[in-house]
Amino acid sequence: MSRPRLDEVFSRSPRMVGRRIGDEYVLVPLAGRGADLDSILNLNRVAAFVWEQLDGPRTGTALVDALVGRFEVERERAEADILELLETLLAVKAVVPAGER
Amino acid sequence: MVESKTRGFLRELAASGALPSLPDGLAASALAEAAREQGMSGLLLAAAERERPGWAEPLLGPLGAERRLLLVRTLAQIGLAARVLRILGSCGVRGLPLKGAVLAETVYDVESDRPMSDVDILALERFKEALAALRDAGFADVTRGDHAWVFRDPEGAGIVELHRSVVSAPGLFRLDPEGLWARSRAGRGQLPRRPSPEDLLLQLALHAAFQHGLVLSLVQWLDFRRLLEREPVDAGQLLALAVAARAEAPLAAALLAAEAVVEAPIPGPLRLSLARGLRRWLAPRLAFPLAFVAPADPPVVRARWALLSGRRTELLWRTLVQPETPDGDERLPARMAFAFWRALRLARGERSVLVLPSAHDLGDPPPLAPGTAPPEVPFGEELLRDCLGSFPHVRLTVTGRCMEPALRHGEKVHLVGAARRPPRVGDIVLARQKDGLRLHRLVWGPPLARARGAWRTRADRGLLLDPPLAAADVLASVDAVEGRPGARARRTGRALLSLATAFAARLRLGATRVEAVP
Repeated sequence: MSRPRLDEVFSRSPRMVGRRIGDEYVLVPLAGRGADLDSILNLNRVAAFVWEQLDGPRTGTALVDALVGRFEVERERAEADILELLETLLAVKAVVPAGER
Repeated sequence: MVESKTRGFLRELAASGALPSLPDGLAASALAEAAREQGMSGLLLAAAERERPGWAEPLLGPLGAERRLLLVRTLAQIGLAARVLRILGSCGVRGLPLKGAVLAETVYDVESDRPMSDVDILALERFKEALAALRDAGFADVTRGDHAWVFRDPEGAGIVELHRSVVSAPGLFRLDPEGLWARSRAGRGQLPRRPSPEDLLLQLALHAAFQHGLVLSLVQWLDFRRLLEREPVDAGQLLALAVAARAEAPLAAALLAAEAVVEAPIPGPLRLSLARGLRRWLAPRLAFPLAFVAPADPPVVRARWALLSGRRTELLWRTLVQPETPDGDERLPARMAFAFWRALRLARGERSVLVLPSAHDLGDPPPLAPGTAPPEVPFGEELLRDCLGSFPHVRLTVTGRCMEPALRHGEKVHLVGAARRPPRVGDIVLARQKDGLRLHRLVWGPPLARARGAWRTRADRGLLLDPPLAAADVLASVDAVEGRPGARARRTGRALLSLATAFAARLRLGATRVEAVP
């Protein structure tokens, strides 16, 4: 799998849902067989924010813009964080490149 | 007393959304256990996280882990409902989800706040084709009633009840498939469609009042409140639907009970006047709302009699004359003949052993191809409890030889839920033991022991008594053994002898141990 680029467009996978429960934000795959706790992903505050931004197709750059606008973080650092997060989410099929839904 | 304290606490939580103060003598762990049983653990946790009382701190970890599990499970169940609807749709049968799956996705903050034991789907047409479609998709029969057939999902996401009617005695409350479909709307998550809020509320009321005699878990009562608060229910339209379905009495009674239990806000036009008999039956219960909360005994027969004032002949007819015989014969003479013999057997105090003749066994999965993993049926006990509550009998295959000759390995038995027929000494009961569910004989219990005291069971071929049980651990008793119509399931004399020999064996073992000590 090639590494994500900021000019690519991404969207949430329809097979993954995010839920805020109490103090945590979790992603749960919908295609599992019964209850499999190992399949749950915990998102930290920044990752949960990015996930919520993905309520429609977004470019990596748009996600960086949103991150910089919301948190006190330098753009260069935000770009690196977004790419790393997208790579993780792509690996677990939580997000997909737009057009692959 | 502690039991009603816990339910009282949880009822207040459901009504107010805030944590009441913890009553003296009530352990937090007992509260968590009761919350699980009432489907309220997610709501208890949410309130505890908000308010952070000291007594709740030890509960946060375990309840948090449970909430994650419930979230995964409930999402999988809703996914299962969506899959069943797609299967039905692919053969041209329109279907709608009922109750829990819709509510979890619609009126609760997060799906884990509305746990359910199975998913219910209403087939709006061509029920036989709907059954065939599920079987073709690999779903296995579990059991069936006159209004719904129960299937196990081949992919392990749980159990599906495929309904042809919202409640038992199909036809008693008119179903309007075209209207239901026309009023339905797009789902909000995985479900492609959901019933209108008015239809959903009417279905909840019928389920509560007619199917369960106005005894539900707290979360099921909370459904009423959430639906009325969070969905735009058109009271006028709901009333018109209730009139068309001839379901005004169940609607009115269920709303009054929901108001008593969880302070559900009843719209003015839905405060209907009740028939005198129903009013007289309901009034004392409304003054003691815990009478509406499981595990209170559900007075199903009495409730149906009171609800169907003026239509009791039809009630009897539709209860006895089912849509088809167990052999699938839909002709009226065959159905009437079956109803006659069934009524005769009931009048004689016998139980019909023909209720589930073609159903496969609960917990008896279809043969697997070599090398394939068995399908997971999670939460088996919960499912079993649900089936025992909803169906007159549940069929089970005996495994093991510890109850021979009373029950032989491989035989099929019919179980009756403890709420329908309270177990008595001498019965072979299905009880929750440390190592799982076991069919053993009740050797100490009612009428000799108090209902709240410790009960004892023993395998007929076992040496010692099983560990003490609470009444709630006894799920059901054996009513009949298939193929042996004369077999007597209850043997009081045998139970008392068994108790005595177990004590004697214990004394002997005790003596041996004493002798062995140097």
